[in-house]
Amino acid sequence: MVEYDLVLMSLVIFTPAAFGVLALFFPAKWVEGVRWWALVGATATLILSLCLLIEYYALLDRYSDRGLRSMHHPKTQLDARVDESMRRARLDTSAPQIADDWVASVPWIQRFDINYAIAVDGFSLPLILLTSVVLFLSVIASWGIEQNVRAYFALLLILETGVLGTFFATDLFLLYVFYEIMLIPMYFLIGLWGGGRRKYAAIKFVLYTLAGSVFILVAIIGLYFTDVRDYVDKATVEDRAAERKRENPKLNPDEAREYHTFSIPVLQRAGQAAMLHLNGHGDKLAAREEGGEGKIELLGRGVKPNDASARMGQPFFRPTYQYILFLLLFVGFAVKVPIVPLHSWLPDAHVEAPTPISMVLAGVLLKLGGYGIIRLAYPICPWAAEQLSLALGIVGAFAIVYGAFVAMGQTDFKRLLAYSSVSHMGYVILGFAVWSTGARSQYWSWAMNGAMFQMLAHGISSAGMFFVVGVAYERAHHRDISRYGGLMTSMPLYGGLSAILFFASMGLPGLCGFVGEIFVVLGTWNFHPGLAVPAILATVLTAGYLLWTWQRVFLGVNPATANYPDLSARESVVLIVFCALAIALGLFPQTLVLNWMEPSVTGLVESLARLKP
Amino acid sequence: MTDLGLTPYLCLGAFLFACGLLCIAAKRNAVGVLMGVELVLNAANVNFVACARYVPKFALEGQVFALLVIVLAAGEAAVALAIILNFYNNHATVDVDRADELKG
Amino acid sequence: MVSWLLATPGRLYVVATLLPLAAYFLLLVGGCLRAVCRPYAHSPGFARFLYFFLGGHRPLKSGAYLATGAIALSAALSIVGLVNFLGESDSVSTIEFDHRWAERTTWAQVGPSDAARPAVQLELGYRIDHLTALMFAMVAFVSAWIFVFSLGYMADETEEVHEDHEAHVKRPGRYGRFFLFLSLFCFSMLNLLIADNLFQVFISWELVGVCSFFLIGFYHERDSAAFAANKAFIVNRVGDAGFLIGLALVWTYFGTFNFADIFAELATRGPPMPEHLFVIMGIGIFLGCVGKSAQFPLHTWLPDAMEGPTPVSALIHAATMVAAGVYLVGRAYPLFAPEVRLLIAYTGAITLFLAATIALVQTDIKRVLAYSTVSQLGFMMLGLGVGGWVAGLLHLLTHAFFKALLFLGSGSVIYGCHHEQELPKMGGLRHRMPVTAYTMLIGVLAISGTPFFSGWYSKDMILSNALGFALHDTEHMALCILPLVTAGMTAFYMFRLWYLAFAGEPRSHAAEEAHESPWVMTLPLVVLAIFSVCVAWGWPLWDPHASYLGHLLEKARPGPAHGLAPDDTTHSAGWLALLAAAAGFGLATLMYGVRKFDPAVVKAKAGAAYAFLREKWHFDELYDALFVRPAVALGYGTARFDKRAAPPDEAEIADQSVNVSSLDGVLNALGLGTAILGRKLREAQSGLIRRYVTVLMLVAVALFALLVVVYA
Repeated sequence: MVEYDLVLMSLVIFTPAAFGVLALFFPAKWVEGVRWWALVGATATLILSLCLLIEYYALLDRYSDRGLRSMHHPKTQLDARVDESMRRARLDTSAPQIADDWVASVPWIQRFDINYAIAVDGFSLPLILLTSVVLFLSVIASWGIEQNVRAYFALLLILETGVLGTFFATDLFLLYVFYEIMLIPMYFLIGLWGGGRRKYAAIKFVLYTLAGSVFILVAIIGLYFTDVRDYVDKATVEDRAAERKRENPKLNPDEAREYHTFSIPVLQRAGQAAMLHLNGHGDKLAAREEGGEGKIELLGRGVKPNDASARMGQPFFRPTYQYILFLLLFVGFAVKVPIVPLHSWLPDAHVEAPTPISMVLAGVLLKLGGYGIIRLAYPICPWAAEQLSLALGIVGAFAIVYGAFVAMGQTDFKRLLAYSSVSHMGYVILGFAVWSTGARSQYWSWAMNGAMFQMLAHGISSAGMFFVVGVAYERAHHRDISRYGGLMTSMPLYGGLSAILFFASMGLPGLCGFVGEIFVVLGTWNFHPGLAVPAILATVLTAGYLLWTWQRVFLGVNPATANYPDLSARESVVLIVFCALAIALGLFPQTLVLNWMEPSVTGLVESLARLKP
Repeated sequence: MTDLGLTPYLCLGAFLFACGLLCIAAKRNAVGVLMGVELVLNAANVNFVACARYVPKFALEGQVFALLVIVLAAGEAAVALAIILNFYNNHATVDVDRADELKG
Repeated sequence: MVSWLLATPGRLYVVATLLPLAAYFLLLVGGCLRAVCRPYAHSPGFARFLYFFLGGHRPLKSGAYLATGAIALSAALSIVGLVNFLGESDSVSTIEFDHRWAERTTWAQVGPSDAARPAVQLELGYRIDHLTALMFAMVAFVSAWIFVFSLGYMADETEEVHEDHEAHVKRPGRYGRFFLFLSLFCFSMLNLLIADNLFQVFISWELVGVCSFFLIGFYHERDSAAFAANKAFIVNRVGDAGFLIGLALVWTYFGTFNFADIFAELATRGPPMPEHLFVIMGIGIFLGCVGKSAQFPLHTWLPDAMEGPTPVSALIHAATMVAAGVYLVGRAYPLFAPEVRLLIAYTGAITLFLAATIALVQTDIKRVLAYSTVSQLGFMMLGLGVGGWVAGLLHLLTHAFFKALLFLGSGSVIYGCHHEQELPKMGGLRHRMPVTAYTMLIGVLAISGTPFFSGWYSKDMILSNALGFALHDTEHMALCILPLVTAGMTAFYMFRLWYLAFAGEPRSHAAEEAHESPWVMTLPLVVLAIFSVCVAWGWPLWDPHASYLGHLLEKARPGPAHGLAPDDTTHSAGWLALLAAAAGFGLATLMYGVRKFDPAVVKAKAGAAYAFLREKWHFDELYDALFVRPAVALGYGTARFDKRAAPPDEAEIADQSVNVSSLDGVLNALGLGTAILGRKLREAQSGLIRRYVTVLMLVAVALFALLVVVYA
């Protein structure tokens, strides 16, 4: 019997790719048919991921305490669900798996314990939804692509599979594979359908991202060579040891028990134990279900804390190794965020990519970076993250201010938006970085939730803004800000809808950008005022460059733009959806997102904050 | 006849090897280079056979490998001569220094 | 529905607040639909029907009526609410009172709500007290009349093709859009007033900012309007950044934004943070008020904001939005340390003097009023700063009525004179537009502080507070002298305005052709004039401290527990102010009324001083040189540092030269370096077999040698 959750999650991942591959078999003449086919594929993915949201909500709701109006429950944390699923898998293989825990794992390459392990939680689900929404809209925005339509949509949909798979994966190897899958379609989409300097931009994009993924790969291999047997249930280790003994009787018992894995939750536990050890609180370690007052249950069932401590001599538990691993993971994903000074690919890629691809790039791909940092770098190497938190905060705050200034100096509309992305994603890093513990961890929790929300909000507002530029470009065939002007008079609907997105990007209350920024700012002061003040002052700069752009593009009188037609029906659909999302997320963040996102985020904050009293 | 032991054979092998290598490095004629290669291979053969005779562990292996090398040398010579002929057809020379089209 | 309201009558205010928002959304959806359907106007079908149903090519007037109806209903509800509130406020116990007039709900929550930790929820809520109830009634009432006025004033926007004479462009009329933003503005303002927490205040704060941005830039074809809108928003953002710093401090140390909770904590335990942070927090919040209320040094945006249509100036830049800053100072009063209160007082004193001096020489009718607004706001800040909590807020209320009256009057003048705004080109209008002339006279009398007009009560209280404060701490004497001098100047420039516009003979063609405005515009003038006279009355009429409105405000006043001593007042200040005002009036009459002195002579004598005032103390130039240009230059500089300009589209993969003058260049140079290294290494692959063999041999020998060395 196949599990329901496995099926649904896999459907979400592979539906786009299936539609994309099938699109290649259309006759070349059926251009319009291919477009509709791709739209059907994107819609199906969107509907399936919405089903996923409902199911995840139901999962939280099963455990939630209505009286407290809170969806928090320890059992709904990803770590607990994965653990429970592993435990059951061992108990009795013939018994049906629980099909509604939204954790699924199928062996893939057993020799190296590589699994097709996927799951959803409050970190991945918002970004999964964002991906399917943005891709859906970008398919609509792609109607104007005339050349080689089949290949275009096939690549676009395969790209979606790569991104979704990265968000779903809970196995490092699987995550890496999907991460690389996403790269290839993007290269072709920029390099074949892009603007004048598209080859330069595409190669730059690929080189930067590959450089980042090499860092990640090194970290993954380093993690795999750590013996994590103490963080898995003792019984599981023994089972596996017996099996290996059968295969190779020469192994000595200790070697047979070595446990290497790509499983993210297991590695997270090991990393957290490393933090306890390095902070000198190794005595707090306890096995699962054996904890007591002041104990932290990180070890697998039946593991003796003393045995675990004895194995802390491994390089993984040394400071240098932790620093190196953290920096490898952080830098690897920071390229994608992007963090100054690794952002240089972004303006080129954005400027040269066709409009729908810019939307995907800004709306979705940048989020992979943030997601990687919070899914891998922070939980697996918390000690180093805590040691470096001030530096990371400075990196984030610097990106905010630097991006804003550079954006102010741009004359190319798209490039300006690219730099505003750099500035806005700085809030994400800042939100992650503001480590605090004890009762004050509440502030970190706000900042972290703000950072996650900022990713969503930025995904919507920036993708929408790139579409805004695309609409203007289609009419004017240039992106020079100083040659626009007067669009508000000739295209009032376009102007009005763009205004909503401009102000959303500026962080106006009632629109999506505000929520993330204010959460981050409110959480940051507690960590360090010196980081909060630049982040706050940057809001003035943001208003400055966006309004200046607004004035130069939309206001005034310009005979050259006076006869531009207003939005077509297709364009207005895309823009209205973006605006509606921006307004809805801004007005009802709790109902729409925080309710089901925040338990996971706060759960992570709490599990990290308890490591350092 | 007194048994000379392994050493003189190894020295002979080394001498042959050195000659072959020098031949490969110094000759510009492709056929000469090929002869150098044959010398190197036969140097190895001398070692194999000597080892087969003097080292009990290699009694069988040494002889088998010597045979293998002879077959290999024959094959190699055939292929190499074919290449040289083709090269001569195209370039009217067998000077290996002229065959540098694959340089970086 | 009725029982739902009766159980918690505070919800009346929520309904009243949400009505304009509903109107906004209806207008927004309608406008959007109309624009979406526009391309199908000539093809038969539902879209065509919808397009013409929503007005077709001409803006639909019913949208404006809808918005006006919504705000009128709000005003009615607010008065019902006020009556109910005043009826109950003395009789019901505090706990039940809180239950009936205050509610809150969670907007965002992080972490389980049962956790014993601070800062779990961001809330939205309302809490009605005397200050809120009075302010709410005033804002809703004044706004309603301004909406009515706008129905007439903006009538030319209902045309299918409207010609903008300043920008020289023909465009469709935008009647609906005007009321759309006006409605959103009213919602934000009312929401600001009922808010029971700083966070909600901040949300509304930004929203009123953005509404004012759109309304100032309503004639966005005009470059000056576009600039003014940007300036207003960005200058306000500077203030808001300060506000945010204050918010972050409150959140970090109090863990809540709720006013009642914060005040309770302050009253019982004092500030939970180091003293200097408490001061910084106060300064931060006050900075927000400085921005919004156009106080020195962020006052420069308000006069430019007169680019918007005149009803906007009346609504936003006189009666309500700029008052928000003063309101917040009053609302958050216990959060201000004594040092901050002194700062508030000095800011107010400097502002009121500065603005009045500039107002003396302005010739644009709206600009005179704009500077007088800044000056009056300075009076309010001064009043609050010196401890005259009631005085400052009473002036806020009375000022709203007479300033709205004056602005609407000026709007009526501008309308009558076919968009002529220059005072020297008017004159003699009292014969042609008598209603406007005499209602404006009432406004002038009120703002100058004439006894028995509303302005007299409030200004008198502020001055007596200031005098009391100055007598108590004599080193702060300036806080009393500046407003006294300014009271005289106020009377001077206001009467100058009136004489120039309405007295004498017409000095231009436009003034000769002027006509009285229709009744939709004069009726609001009359109503507001009545209120400008009597809104602050009490018994006995001649005692400024007996104002009934003042007594009501007194009940909301934060107590001594929050460091506010009882009013330290000195009644003699009133006489001094009256004297100063009389002097100002006399001078204005001599110069502009009976023309004893020729203003031109005075102007010539003043020379440099006149030019200095005319140029508004050169603040714009100063800020331009100090902040705007360096920021833009820095922007261009960093942009150049980040990436050199893109080569033209034709250039393929970048040229091979190393360029380390920019960040991008450095990173590209890394890549280029790799490529160069590869090219160098390529040469080793010579293609000479003999060389390969030689290298092979030598390496083998070297390895053997190494082996020997290592093992030997």
